[in-house]
Order: sequence, then structure tokens, then C-alpha cells
Amino acid sequence: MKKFKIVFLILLITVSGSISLQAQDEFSKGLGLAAKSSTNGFGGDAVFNFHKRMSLRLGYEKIALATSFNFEEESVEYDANVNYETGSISLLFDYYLARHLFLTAGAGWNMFDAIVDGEAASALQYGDIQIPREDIGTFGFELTPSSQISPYAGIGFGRTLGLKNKVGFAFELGGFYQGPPEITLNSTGLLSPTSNPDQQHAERLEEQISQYNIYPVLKFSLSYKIVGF
Amino acid sequence: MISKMQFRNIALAGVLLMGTMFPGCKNMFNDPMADKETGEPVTLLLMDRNFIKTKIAVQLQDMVTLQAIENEQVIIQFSGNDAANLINFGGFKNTSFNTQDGFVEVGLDPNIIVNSQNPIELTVIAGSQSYISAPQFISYTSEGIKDLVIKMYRKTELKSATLGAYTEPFDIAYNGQLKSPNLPYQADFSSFTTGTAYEYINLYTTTASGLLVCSNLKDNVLYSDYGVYTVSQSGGTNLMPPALPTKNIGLQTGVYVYSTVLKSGMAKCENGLTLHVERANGATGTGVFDYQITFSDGKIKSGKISCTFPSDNTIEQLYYPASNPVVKVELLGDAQYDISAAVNLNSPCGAKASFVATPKSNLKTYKLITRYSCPESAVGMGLSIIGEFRKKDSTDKWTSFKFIEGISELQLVANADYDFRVNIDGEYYNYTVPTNPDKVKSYLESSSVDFKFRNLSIISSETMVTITTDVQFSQAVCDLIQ
Repeated sequence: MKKFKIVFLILLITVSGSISLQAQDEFSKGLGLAAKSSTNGFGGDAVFNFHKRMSLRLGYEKIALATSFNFEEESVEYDANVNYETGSISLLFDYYLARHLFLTAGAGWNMFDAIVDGEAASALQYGDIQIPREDIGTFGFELTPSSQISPYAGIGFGRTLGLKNKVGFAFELGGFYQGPPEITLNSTGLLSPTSNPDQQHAERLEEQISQYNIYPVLKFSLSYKIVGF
Repeated sequence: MISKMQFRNIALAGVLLMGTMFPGCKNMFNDPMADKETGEPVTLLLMDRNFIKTKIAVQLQDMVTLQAIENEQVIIQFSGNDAANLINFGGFKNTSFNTQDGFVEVGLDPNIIVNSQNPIELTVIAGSQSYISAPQFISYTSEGIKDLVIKMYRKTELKSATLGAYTEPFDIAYNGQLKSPNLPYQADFSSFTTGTAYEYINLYTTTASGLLVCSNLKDNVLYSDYGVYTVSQSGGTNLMPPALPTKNIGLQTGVYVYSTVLKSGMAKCENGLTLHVERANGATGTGVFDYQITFSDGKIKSGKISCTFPSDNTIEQLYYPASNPVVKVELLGDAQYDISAAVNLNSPCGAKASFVATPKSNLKTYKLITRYSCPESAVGMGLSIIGEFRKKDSTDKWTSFKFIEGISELQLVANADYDFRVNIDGEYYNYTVPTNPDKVKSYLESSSVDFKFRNLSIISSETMVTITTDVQFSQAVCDLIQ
């Protein structure tokens, strides 16, 4: 799967060079499909190029990653897992400032969801006594966007749908405004104060990450015009 | 067809959109694990240190003044089978604990089960350069915070007491001599408790080695047994409750001798007396209150209970006159609460005395959320310990309260500043917290060798004010905790 993604990216980059050379001035409306690879996931767009300078994209993208790690705090070892999901269903409007330079704006249903959870993997040595790891308990942090419907803006190079050609390529840099991420905590055992609402711990952690209100998007797309009219 | 003007407008809008969006990224590369205000590591996990399910909160009290014994290095010595399971704040096992502040919390290994079949049984005695207590047997059949007040007698006061008359219901001969000069009387110890059915009468000390013999009980109807307990000042063998007292023993110099009797007709409450304390309408809060149980023979048992409303505390080791078991139970208010009137019971055994705590009229409810942390640690502590407070710079009596996972609800005077203190291994650590939001900034910058504030906020709502405090202990204090 990993190899496939790398090959796919190389293919996109290779194609991009040839497309820009083939572009022509004449315009005809077109409808096409695009495959895309971005920091927001893999997916596709339905692209409607209704004007020489304008097009609409309805797209879906998603990625899910999972990994495990461990760490030690206060002489207790913890096993932790990260489950990271991001993606969107988006409707975007492209406006071409030049033939291969465009601005994009729109909104998406933000599917960002990151979960870090774990449990104590070792007992707590407390002086001469040991507290069993089962008593220490579990923890879970879930990050979600505060704004599920997230405005999007970006700047792109290339064409989201070939102007005259069947095949188009675009590179895009943008971001979803998702608002300051929200944190949901859960914990058990001795770690239960972590999620005790009275401790206002979630609010404090949210303040720490409040600057991450934009989800950055770096995107490559490869499109194919199905119909031109 | 889009006109040139429309094109410019759209382009301008696009550039503006990008221009407003991307400056929001300027802090994206700040380390989120460093506190935005202080740069200290962010506390990610909060750990409840309440895994010590049974604690004995020992308070040392001057028997005459009833004040806490402060500025005096006192050693509290535990003995008995369960003494080997006692731990200090850092979890290290010990049988003796020091304090110079008149208070120390002693924990019990949480792996030890406590119930009526497996009670903890200990004998405790406290001593210092200037003070002495009587050995006291303690027994608990349930987990929780056990408040133990140890009364102590100032030795300097004992000297003057030797001039007074004293009586015993039996003869004590030392080296064959009654009222021997080598066994001088020290003090009336009848207000001390043995923790068993026996009652202390007087304290003596030996000034020479010899043989002590108790005999000739004068009233064998009123008393069914008698004798003495002994505690050596030089580390010799002790005879302490719950062992039976002796009537014949050879002693060295410098031994404390406690005369004791067993009154006839006394019975023990096997189920104890429950003190129920709640607030009207089920409101929450905590408090530590003095109680007093007066028996029909005039004897008084007093102590403290730590309450989290609604609260049930069982007073154990009650011995009462079997022929007339009626008792009067009183609970005394503190700086936060007034307590309802005394309760009269036909018998203390298995009974419940209920009280209502009412906040004093001039006070406002504050929720105190205090988390403690150590330098360079991502784990904070919600301590479940007893704290004390009083108005800043006042000489008022300290008012005790309980932190539960670092949270407590207190009744305080609005806009007043308060000194708080928590006790770690017999030593108090103080900090001051305002209740006036305007003072937050000045207090946030305050610190001492023991702590500094990482955060302090005061937020008012309609029903209460929440004071959130992040206290970072110094590494020296953390070494005691961890």
C-alpha cells in the first residue's frame, strides 16, 4: 500500500509537466473526475469546469493512520496508541487568476479525529510499596475540530480539470479553518482526575493547542475530463 | 463573461482570504507541550494519589491549652503487628514519624485489607524533649481517613504538678516503699485514653532502678483490675495497651509509669457510634470537626472527624457504663460551618447521631481546584489530603478541610486573602490564594523556596466562585512525595 502511494505521487508529478505544455487557449465547459492525494487524505473530485476561469469541485478524501508507542512518566511505563483519521467531503470553487494559477475557496465536512489512548504497562513503585498497573488505569485523548463544517481556502498551480485536454494536473496549498481543536478526555483508575470535569483539564489542554485552528492541506490531483461541451 | 473589474474584485477577495487565513498559522510551530504562559512542560495526565486508602491523620495537642503542638520536634512511635505496614507520604515503611508542626499523616500499605475481620491494631505513643503522651491502643475496622488526636503533657508542667496531692485506688510500692521518692508523681493522666477498657489515672517516673509492686485495691466493687503500664525513655522494654497492665515489675531509671484501673460494669461497643453530617438540600463541601461524647459516668471521649458531605464516620473503641449507656454527642462547628445541636442517645452502640452543617452567614462558596506538579514532569497530582486554611496573616485557628483529588469546596469571606497549607511528612507547606480576581496577577508572580504558581485563575458563576491553582512544588518537596 505504501509503495502504491509513492508510485501514485510520482505519476502525478510526472504527468503535471506534460499537461501544462499541452494546454490551449480555447475553452469548452467540461465535466471530469480527479484522483487526489493530500495531507487530508486520498480520494477523488467530481470537477465541473463551467467557465474559462472558474470550476466547481465536489470531493471526498480520507486517510487513517495508526501507530503505537510507549513512554514513561513518574516511573510508570505507559503503552499508548494513536489513531489518526482525517478527511473531508468538500465543495470548492476555483477561480483562475492565470491559466495555471488559481485560488480556491469553499467548505468541507471535516472528518478530522485523532485519538491517543493508553494504559499503564507497569506498576507504580511508590516507596516500599507497589501499586498494580491495573489500579493506575487508562487514559484517552480525542481531538476533534470545533467547527465540523470547515471553510477552505487555497492557492493552486495547474488545472483541476484540463482546459482543453482530457488530462489535467494541479498542485494546491491551502487549509481548512476548523477552529481551535476540541479535546475529549476519558480516564480510569488513579488517572481519573485527568477527565474529571471539575479539574477543567480538557479546557487547559485546548488552550495549549488553540493555535492549530487551520488544518494545512498540500494536495496533488490528477483529473480526467469525461465530457466536454 | 467576467469583466476586468469583477476579475480584480474576485482576485482581491481571494488574496484577502488567503491573507487572513495564513497568519493564523504563525504559532503553529510553537511547542504545544510547553506551557504557553510559563514555558514549563504541560501537565498531560493527572494522577490521584488517593491509592492510600487508609490514613491516620495524627494531630498532637497540648493537653492543657488544647492547641496544636508546633515548633517542637515530636516523634510518634507505632508498635503492634500492623506497625510494619505503615508508610510515610513517599510510601516508605516506617514505624516512627517525626513532625515539628503538630500534625502528620501516616498511611497504611494499600495492599493490607482492613475490615471487621482484619482490623488494624496499633499502639501509639508520642514524645519529645518537652512533651510526653500516654501509650494509646488504636483499632480500625474500616478504610478511610482516621483522625487521631494525641494529647501530650508538657514536661515542664509536670514538675510543678509533683507538689500537688494525688490518690490511687490501690497501693504502688517501689522498692517496698509507698510514695517512694524514686517514683515521683508527675501528673494526673485521667484524661488520657488507653484505647481499651482500662483507664489511666496518674503518671510517675522512676529516678532509680527498683521493683514496683501494685497491691491492696481499695474498692474491688468499682474496679475489677488495676496495675501499671511502663514506657522506657532509654529504649528498653515497654508494657503498653492492649496488653494487660502489670502489678509487679522491675524497672530501670527513667521509665514512665502509668497507673491504670479497669472499672467494673463497662461494656464495649462492638459496632461503634456513627456520626452522620450533611448539609441542607444535599449540598456538598468538606470539613473537619471536633466531636465530644459524654457518657453517663461523666467520662468524655473527644476527637476529630473528617467529613465530605454527606458523611458517615464511625467512632470505634467506645467503652460505656453497661448499666446506663446513655450518651450525649456534640459536634463543634468551625470557621466554615455551624453545626446543629447536641444529640442524646439511649446507647452509642450501633447508633447514628445526625448533624446538619450550615455555612456561616457571612461566607461565600468557593470551589478550590488545586493541582500539584513537580518540575519537568508531565504528570500532575490531584492530592487527596487534609489541608488547612485561615485568613492571610491572621492568628486565627487553622481550619481543616479535605482535598478530594485536589478539589474542595470551601466557605470563605469574599475578597479576602487566605493562607493555605498542606502537610507532607509532618511538615507544612504554605501558600496564599486570593479570592479577589483583581489580585490574581500579583499572586501569580509570588513564589517561595517550596513552590511557585504555574497558574491561578478565579472565575465567578451565579452559585459559586472557582479558584483554580496550579502549584509547582520545588524538587526538594517532590522528592518527599515521589
